[in-house]
Amino acid sequence: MPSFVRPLGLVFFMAIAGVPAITVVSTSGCAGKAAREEVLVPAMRLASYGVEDDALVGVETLPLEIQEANRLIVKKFFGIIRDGDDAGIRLEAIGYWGRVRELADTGIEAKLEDEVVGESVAKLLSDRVSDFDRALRAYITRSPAMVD
Amino acid sequence: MPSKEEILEEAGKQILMEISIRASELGASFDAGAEDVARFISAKAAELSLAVDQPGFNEAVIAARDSVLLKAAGRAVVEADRWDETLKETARSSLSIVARLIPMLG
Repeated sequence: MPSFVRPLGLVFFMAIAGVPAITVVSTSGCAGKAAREEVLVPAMRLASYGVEDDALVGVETLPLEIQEANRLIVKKFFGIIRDGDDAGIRLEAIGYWGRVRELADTGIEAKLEDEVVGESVAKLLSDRVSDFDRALRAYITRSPAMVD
Repeated sequence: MPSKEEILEEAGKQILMEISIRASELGASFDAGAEDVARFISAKAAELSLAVDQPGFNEAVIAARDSVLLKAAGRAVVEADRWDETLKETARSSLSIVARLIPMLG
């Protein structure tokens, strides 16, 4: 067998065995990124309206002089989420979330105290805040395809 | 001493087996994910039934819907990450099988 046939044989083998796997990784290897952008962000966007409502009720429980600053934080946070900008969510929104979450929890407590909602309703509202928290954390955790 | 054709055939079988094992692992993971979401939906429906006569029931319905969507989306991300990881591992394994072949093919 001529010597040039050997590397050709190896190239052929890689083409049928090894390369398809690599090709799949390079073309579909960012399934995690797509799931975050095309599934998780829309779900967060939809849930954002209810969580924002709870957080804005929480703002109203604060002393008047700090209400506006907190309202701006809430508006800014949900604006970024609805915008769906990756860098905005990872770098900016995550910094606001701790405060927004506190306000949402406070808002739900206020709704319960004022009997705007019942206990089971309040529990479902609180669960949504926790689920939103988990979703946000899932978003900012980089997918394996994005790590390498 | 196996011939080059036999070495290549054996390596091809190893790669196919590798892909097949990882595919079945992924399939089991997808099933578990679907069951997890189904259980979550049942739990939310049960919680919602407790809230029927309470003030703010409409808010509860929307909150339950949001939670289910967030949960399902979260699972989708977990499964997609697992898929990415599996593809990377499969590519690595295939390459290492090919790399082991090079000295044998002389």
